[in-house]
Amino acid sequence: MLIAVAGVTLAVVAVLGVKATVNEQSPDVVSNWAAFNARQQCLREAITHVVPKGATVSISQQQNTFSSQELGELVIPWARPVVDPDQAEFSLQIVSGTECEGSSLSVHALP
Amino acid sequence: MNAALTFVFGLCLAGCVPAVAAIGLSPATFFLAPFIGAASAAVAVELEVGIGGTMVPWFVVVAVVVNVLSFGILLRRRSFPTWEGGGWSLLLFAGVLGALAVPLIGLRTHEVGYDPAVIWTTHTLLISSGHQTLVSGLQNPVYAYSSPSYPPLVPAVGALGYAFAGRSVLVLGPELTALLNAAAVGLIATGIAKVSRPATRRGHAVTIALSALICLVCFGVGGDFGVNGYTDVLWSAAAVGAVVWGLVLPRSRSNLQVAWSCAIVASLTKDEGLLAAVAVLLLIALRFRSPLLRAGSGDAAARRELVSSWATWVCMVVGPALPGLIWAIQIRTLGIKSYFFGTPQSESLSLRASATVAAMSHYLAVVPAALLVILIGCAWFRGTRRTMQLGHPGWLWAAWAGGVGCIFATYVFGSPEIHWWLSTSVDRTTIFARMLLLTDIAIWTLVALNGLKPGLFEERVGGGTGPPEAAVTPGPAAATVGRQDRGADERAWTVS
Repeated sequence: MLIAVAGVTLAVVAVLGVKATVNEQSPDVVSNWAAFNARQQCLREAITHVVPKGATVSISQQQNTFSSQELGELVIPWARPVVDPDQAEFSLQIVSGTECEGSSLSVHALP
Repeated sequence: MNAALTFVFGLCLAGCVPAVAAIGLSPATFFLAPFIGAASAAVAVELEVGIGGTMVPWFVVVAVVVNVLSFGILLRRRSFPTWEGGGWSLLLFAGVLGALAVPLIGLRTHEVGYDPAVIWTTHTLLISSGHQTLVSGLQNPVYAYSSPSYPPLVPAVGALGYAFAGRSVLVLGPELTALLNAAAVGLIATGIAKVSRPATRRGHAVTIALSALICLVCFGVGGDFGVNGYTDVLWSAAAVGAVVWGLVLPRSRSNLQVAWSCAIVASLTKDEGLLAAVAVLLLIALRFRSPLLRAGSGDAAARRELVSSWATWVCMVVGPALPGLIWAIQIRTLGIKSYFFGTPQSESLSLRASATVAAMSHYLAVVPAALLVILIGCAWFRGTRRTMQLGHPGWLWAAWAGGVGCIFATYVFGSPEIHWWLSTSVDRTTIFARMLLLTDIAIWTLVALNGLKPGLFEERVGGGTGPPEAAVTPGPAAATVGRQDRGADERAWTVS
């Protein structure tokens, strides 16, 4: 009885896990993840090309919360995000575009 | 390829000698070595934060110190460990590696989840950039929502990868996390293989099959999170490894060292891992050296013995937890608060508690099966389990309750809106609970086979002169522990 319950439980979990692995190999899933990775890499590279290292930047609030948080995370290893836009040298925003898999980085120098 | 090279030359090589010094040469050694390497990288980040400089030189310093100490221990023993278990042990290793290769096929998709792509890669880049960038980045208020308090092990390993391969290959970090997941699951599997000692070919085959199966099971519980860079499988599997080696397998110095290594990795991987590791370390210390509750007599010697027993117990908890606790202290000293406790709650505690129970129970469907197994096991195979000198099943369930309790309390007393928080995380935070119960089911399977097919496995002898585990755990008398030689490098801890 114990071995039957244990065997069925373990086997079900193992089979579901292997099935999930196999499903993840479908071309659609692979291309979706490739696009997601390429977008992240592209946005990081765009930041390092356009924004000087260590510059103070303001994350524009004219975008949804998700994008502004994502941009804050992407920019912080390179530049210094500040809360007050008056103290920033540049304003950054993720906008629709073609450069980075449907997104582009918009950068404005602040006076 | 870069991830594999970093894993082998950065982590395995750095942890090779310490792993041999800890547990000799066995399949588990190969899974323990990268754990020690990864923990060394995490400690290097703590030195980067605390003293300055960059992580890689600190990693070299830590790795050299740990290796010199371990080499000294090996030299003192005057006998280099030999391969344990012969050909069957090699087959076990091959079986576990083969089973681990199946879920790792998922690495081919280069899947990187949102948290690994943004949170963990950003932490990795900060660490890779040196002290100044790391500290100012973690302290930046704009970055406060991105869990800057998370422990440094995973990004430290990623930063080591960048040092090998350059910072342009951002997928390296998540790939290394997946390989560490495999090492953690490998330690669980090799731990399960040590539950019984096969006496026949069929016994060996059953043990190897069950060890391989548990690899698939653990990755099955983790799902995509096992290979897409999330760290929840790592801390969960490391904590389950600590339970198997520290609370289930017979008490021995080498088992204790593996359990401590697992707990250190769990505590340095995620905040939840630190809580679970401390809970497991408390139980391990109780099992190995429970403190005296009162002095045997009123004289000074008895009082000294009482104080000494408590000091030893505290050291056994705090010592292995120290790397994780140091990071928590550093984060607090830098003024960084956990995002999850930063703002006042908007919901009542009862609402949060009921929502948490509902969400967690959805992912804990394995509990009835685990309860059925333990009930049958305790009714029919309790004696078999005693003769196998395994820990009392209550230890594992206490660790389960401690881990689940910590997660539950975090949800109830944390600040984010509870339904959003649960919907984005409860599938990951319950991995530890599910993995531990499935591991318990696998252990009971071996116990039952031991009881039903007496010729299949050897009776445990040698270090097995102590009384049954159940008689040891509750009483303060268990505090006095003696040692008996049990092999070249392994000493069994038995109650005197």
